[in-house]
Amino acid sequence: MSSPKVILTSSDGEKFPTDPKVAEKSILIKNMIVDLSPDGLEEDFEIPVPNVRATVLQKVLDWCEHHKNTIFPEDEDEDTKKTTPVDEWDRNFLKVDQEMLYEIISAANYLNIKPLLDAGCKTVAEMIRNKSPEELRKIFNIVNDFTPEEEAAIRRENEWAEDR
Amino acid sequence: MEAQGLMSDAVTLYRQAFKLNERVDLLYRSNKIPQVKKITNPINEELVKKINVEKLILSFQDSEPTSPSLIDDNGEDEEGQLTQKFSKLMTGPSPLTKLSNDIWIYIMEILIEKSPESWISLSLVCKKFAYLGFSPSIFRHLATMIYPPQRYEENEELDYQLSTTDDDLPVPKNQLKILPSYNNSWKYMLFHRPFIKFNGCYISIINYYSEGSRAEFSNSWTNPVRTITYYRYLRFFPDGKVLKVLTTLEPTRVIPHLQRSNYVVSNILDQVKGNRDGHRIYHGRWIMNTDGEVHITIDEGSVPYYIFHYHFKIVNMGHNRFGKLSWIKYYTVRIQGEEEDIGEVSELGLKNEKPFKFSRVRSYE
Repeated sequence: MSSPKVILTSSDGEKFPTDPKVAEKSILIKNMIVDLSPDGLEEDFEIPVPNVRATVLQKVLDWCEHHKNTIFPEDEDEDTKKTTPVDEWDRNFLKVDQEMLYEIISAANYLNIKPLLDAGCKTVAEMIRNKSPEELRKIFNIVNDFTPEEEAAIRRENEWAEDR
Repeated sequence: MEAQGLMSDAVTLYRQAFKLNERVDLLYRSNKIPQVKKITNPINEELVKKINVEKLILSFQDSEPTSPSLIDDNGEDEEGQLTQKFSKLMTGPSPLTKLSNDIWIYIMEILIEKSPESWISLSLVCKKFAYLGFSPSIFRHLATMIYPPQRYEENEELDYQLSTTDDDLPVPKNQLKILPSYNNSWKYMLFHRPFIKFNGCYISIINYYSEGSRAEFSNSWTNPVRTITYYRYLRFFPDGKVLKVLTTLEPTRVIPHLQRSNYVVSNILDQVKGNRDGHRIYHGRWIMNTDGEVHITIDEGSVPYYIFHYHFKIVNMGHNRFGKLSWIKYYTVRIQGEEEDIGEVSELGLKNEKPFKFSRVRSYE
């Protein structure tokens, strides 16, 4: 007899039977399991994930599978955490289009998978780094909605704060 | 060349150049100076000054980014326009722009750590990003990053009382305790409470003219004049150390050497010449007070029997807040010599001194 699984159901109804150790990378799922069966799973346990599509859930579970034995430092100082570079595997994993990146970050946030959320945010930060506002507008396909005077006034008042 | 003090050589060469081609200045300009082609609409300065930025940013609270408007596109035939319309209708603003505000603020905080100018650029993309990038959460993040590593005289006096906890400190590390005295606004604190900056160095540039005498049998009516430029550099560290250099070397040659383990600005040329003294890096200590006055002490300065003291005030440089150190006083205290001379204070003149201006250095981050 195989050990019990967590069965995650995506927003579009697809079922993903998952090893609990993998699924528990999500703190949300981990807490649900602990709450409902404190002595460990005895039978399959179904959890709906209503706002994550199947393709995204698959991607997120791939990440959890890869990292099932990774120990992420818990109490790292916030500032060190922000400057630690994204690891090689994660960087390649997150080479996806903006839509997918958006969905992965949102799913990691919802499922409470801190290290994935962190890697996703750093990937977005890398996209932004060393670009001018005009270049960023192109990347995000948005228009400049300031008047030239507003833009100048905001820049003038705040730009100095980049020195510290 | 004239910038390097070789004015008369420069003039000779300019003359030669004009003999070769009397339109040489125009030629130079058309070749070497980049042409500004893009015509930008002039900004109405009066209007800019009237804007209350804080209110303006608050008014962006519900702004959502929009993708480029379809009406603006012109010059294309109808069919081209239609396909363009479709492709733009399909795309819209990047889905990433719809990430929650909390997540965007986290991304901004990552940028502040790694590349602060990118945080500014992102915040100037559109109203939504300005609202997030210059929000109280971001100013709180900056304040809690900037102020705890500052070193206050008021706190130092208590150093010997081992029992001091943060609560007993005149200037607590916990910024929340200081916030009420700044209208409970993180932005107000950041804009009004002076601090020393660590991600770069402060440079003071001093120019003076020294008049020489004419060469023998010279027909010249005037004496040659030489411009001498020298620099003072200061780099501060959060642990109370400060590096000081006084040299004729320009910033690009000095800045990379301003490291805490270095005692000379070494370069190959100087080693060849055996010239070191002129480019020493002196190590000292710094402390400031809550009024923004900075006191630097250098025990091992250029003269062994003196301790050097410098007092500066942190001031604004136009819109660049706290970007300047202006001189208050500069003096030495004698520590060796005849007994009656010990402790003697000699004030040094500030007539030629210029304020220090802060420049960010990426490699220091």
